[in-house]
Amino acid sequence: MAIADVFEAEVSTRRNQNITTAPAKVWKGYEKVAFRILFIFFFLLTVPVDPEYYTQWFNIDWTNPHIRDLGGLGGYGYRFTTIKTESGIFGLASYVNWGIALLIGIAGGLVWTLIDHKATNYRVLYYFITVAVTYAMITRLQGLTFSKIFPSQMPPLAETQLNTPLGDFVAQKLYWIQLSLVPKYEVFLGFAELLVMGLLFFRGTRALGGALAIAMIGNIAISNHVYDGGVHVLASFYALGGAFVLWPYLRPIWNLLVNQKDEVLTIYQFPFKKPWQKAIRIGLKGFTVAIYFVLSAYLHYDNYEHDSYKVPARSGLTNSKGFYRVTEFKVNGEVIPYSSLDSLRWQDVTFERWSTISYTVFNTFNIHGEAGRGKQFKDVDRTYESAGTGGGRRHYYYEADTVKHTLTLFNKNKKYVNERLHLHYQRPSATRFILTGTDQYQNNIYVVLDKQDKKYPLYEGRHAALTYQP
Amino acid sequence: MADVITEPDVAQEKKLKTIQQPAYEFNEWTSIEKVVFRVAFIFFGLFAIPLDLGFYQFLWTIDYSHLTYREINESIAFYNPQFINIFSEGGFFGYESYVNWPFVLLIAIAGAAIWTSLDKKSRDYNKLYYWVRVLVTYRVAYAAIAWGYKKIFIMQMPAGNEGLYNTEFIDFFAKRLYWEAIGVATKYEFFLGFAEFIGGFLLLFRKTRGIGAAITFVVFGNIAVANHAYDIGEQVPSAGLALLSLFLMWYDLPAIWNLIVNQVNTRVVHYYPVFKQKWQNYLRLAVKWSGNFVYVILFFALEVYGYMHNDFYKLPNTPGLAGSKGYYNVTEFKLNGKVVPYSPFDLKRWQDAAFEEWSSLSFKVHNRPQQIEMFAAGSYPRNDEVYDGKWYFDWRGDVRRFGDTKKHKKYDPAKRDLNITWELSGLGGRQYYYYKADTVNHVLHLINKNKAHRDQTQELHYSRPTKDRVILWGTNEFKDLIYVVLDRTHQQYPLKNGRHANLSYIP
Repeated sequence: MAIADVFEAEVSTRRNQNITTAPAKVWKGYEKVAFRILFIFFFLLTVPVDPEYYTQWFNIDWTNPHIRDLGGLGGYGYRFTTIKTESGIFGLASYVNWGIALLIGIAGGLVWTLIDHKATNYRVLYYFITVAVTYAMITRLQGLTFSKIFPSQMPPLAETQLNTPLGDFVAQKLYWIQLSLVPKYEVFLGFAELLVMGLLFFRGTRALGGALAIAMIGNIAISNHVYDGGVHVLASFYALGGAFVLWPYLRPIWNLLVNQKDEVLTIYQFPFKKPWQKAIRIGLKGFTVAIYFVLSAYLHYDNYEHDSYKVPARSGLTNSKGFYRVTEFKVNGEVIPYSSLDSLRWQDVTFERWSTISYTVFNTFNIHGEAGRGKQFKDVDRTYESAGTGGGRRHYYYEADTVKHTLTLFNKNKKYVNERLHLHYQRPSATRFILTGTDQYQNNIYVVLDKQDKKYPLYEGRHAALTYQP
Repeated sequence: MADVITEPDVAQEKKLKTIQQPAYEFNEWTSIEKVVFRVAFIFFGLFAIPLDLGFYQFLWTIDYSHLTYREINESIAFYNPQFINIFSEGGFFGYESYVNWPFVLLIAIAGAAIWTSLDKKSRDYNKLYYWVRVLVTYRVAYAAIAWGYKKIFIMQMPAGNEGLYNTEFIDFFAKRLYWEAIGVATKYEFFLGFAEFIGGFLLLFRKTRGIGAAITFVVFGNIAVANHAYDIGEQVPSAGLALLSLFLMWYDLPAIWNLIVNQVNTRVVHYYPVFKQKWQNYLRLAVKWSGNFVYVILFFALEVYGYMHNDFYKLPNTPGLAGSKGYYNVTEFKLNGKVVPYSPFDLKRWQDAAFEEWSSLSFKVHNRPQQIEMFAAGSYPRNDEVYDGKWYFDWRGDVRRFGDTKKHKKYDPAKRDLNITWELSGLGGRQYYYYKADTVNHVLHLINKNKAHRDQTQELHYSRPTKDRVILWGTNEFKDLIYVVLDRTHQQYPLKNGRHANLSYIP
């Protein structure tokens, strides 16, 4: 506390030192070479050089924008190539574009060194590449931020997920859906990411934003690697960018805290003195706020309210949501008794609030990968509930004709995309379904479903000492 | 005041490390600063030392001849002022669980008022500030290292087992799912443990204390939030450690803010007391190094010993029937001589069975109510505790953790595995039995692991005609005669196959 006192005094006497007018330093030779390489590297990573990026701004229907449009507008580094091996998807090879950018950086940096003998420093370029990195971080983070603040990146658990044994989820899926059960935590993480964006937006707090990005999104990058989450390259970008932004502050912070020396920062900030420079700066800042904070927040809110993007939009049969036991099952007129080893007989069925049906059979099929990412347009492609789930559970999108009482089922698993079931349904009571029709193997099936109420420890666990009643 | 550090002072005192800064006058504190400090001193001082008498009872009852990492961990990871428990949802999971904090603050304010009326002379409290920081530093450091070791040695979130993989999502408490999500990625658990450990470790050194405090603040703050999110129930100790870390950061924060945000010339000057007498310094070093020895070095050695000797506190270590581990279909089931066909609705017929690597057998039956067991003492109401919204005071402090002194009395290896109920903690769905195998007469003596149903025992003969088949017959928990044929399914768990499961999944 006494210390704070001392600083108060120092602030007033030293605030007048204008950092921007500090004498231009003469950079050392290796510093210049390193900068040239890193400049080209980060330029390729952050500044969109693809003309497609710029044309998309004009192809968007601005009278009716959707969050699907925003992802591309966030910008992306140049994609030289992709490697479609296991390592290219999950491992080191997935960073191939960074490697290529670095090679170009090294080559370009050497050429630059040969040509440029005059420059004593690159503080102006350094300033602007830092701006490019921070703004790339902001514009690419907004989608993740606001889809967590309005929790739709990990939408609430579906009935099918609740009734799947733990071992049947791939690790990637478990990692994603562990946030699905706690929407409030998802919102908290969203606000933490918003804080990163906000801190990065201002010069003074940029270093704090970079540090928080490393701590938080760096952790996300690591967990994406261990869980095969699939967005590790994206997440690592924020850690890399954060490190780049934080770099010039590290030595002063170390000196201040560890060596306890008198410290002052000498970070060059471009002065923006001329009116047109000021106008451009204010204009771009305003534009960033308008598109990547305000519009993005609004669109994600709107999406969350009306059409949460990972959950199918079409609603399911009225009051059908729940878990059903298969009381009776006939194939081509012949009753098949309950069995956990039969690949035709269904064991249980779930209906969702939206138009998805799942049923369990003996597990003899291929999982389709992905955590159910992306912002798919069609309901049948919105696979958050089914992707990365094994065991015996199969998932179908359905179209219902409520006049003729028919259901057409479309397999959501991309490896069985042509499977169809044509069923007729009856609902003799509120808890019973009778389905008749042809399955995907052209068998005639007859299925009686009875809804079973289950007590969910997952949701009731905290209310009292719980006696489990299955 | 006498204890102003000057260069000659520092130069004379060779036992202290050289402080590389010019002679520096500490300013006199304002009266507001002094009042605030008095409150903070009492508040954080009380927070950092164990007040619970139960804690000392616990220390007294430790079986020191069989000291393991458990006791060292328990003596440092948890205690915090907790004399009042409110038995309600909010009292376990919500804001009411912090009920003890305002009382500590109240005591601090009262104490500070008395102190203020008595102490008119003090110019500053640099010395006391230093000492309370030392106290808090070691409190946080050792706790962080303890939690770090738990994860580094893969103790806190062990990898799952056969029964667990065959339990449906709805049957888990959110808390248990959170544990399993981490347990499935042991590398990540190690990383998280290392983050806790390194924060604590950096706190042990004067120079890196600021950095260590920043790390422990971020780590424990996040853990506290996750505790709230997943109803884990240990939010109060975690938030307490985050609060103590924030107190440690406080000293450096103005300087960091000035450096980074205001970008002005800044420095942090730490006050270190100068020990005039040699014995004072020896005492300081002795206390410091005995603490470090127990909570860093000995603790580490005991963790390694536990790890090497298959002594994971959440996992049984009696080996199960050799080669029986796996998930089994119930091919045939006879109850009192009568065949019962497979049905998801039968009250007694097993639907499946799972043998673990250790001596546990679990199976699934329909509609069997079961008291869900808890893990971690502070969280969740126990069977005999009802939500009545009342305040319960106990002089032993955290009575739910330290109340049962018998727990630590005697080390009994025979009961170890029966009492390790991790398999069924925080989840329902399956019946777990501990078994004692008589491999000469081929008999399994089974006891229900659930503490509410310990009276349920079974005695089953077994034969293993093939590698994948186990036949059991004998009396079940209701004294019925059963005959069960189990066939192993060669279950592939996508959860364990990970990325390969994605590419091609063959069951």
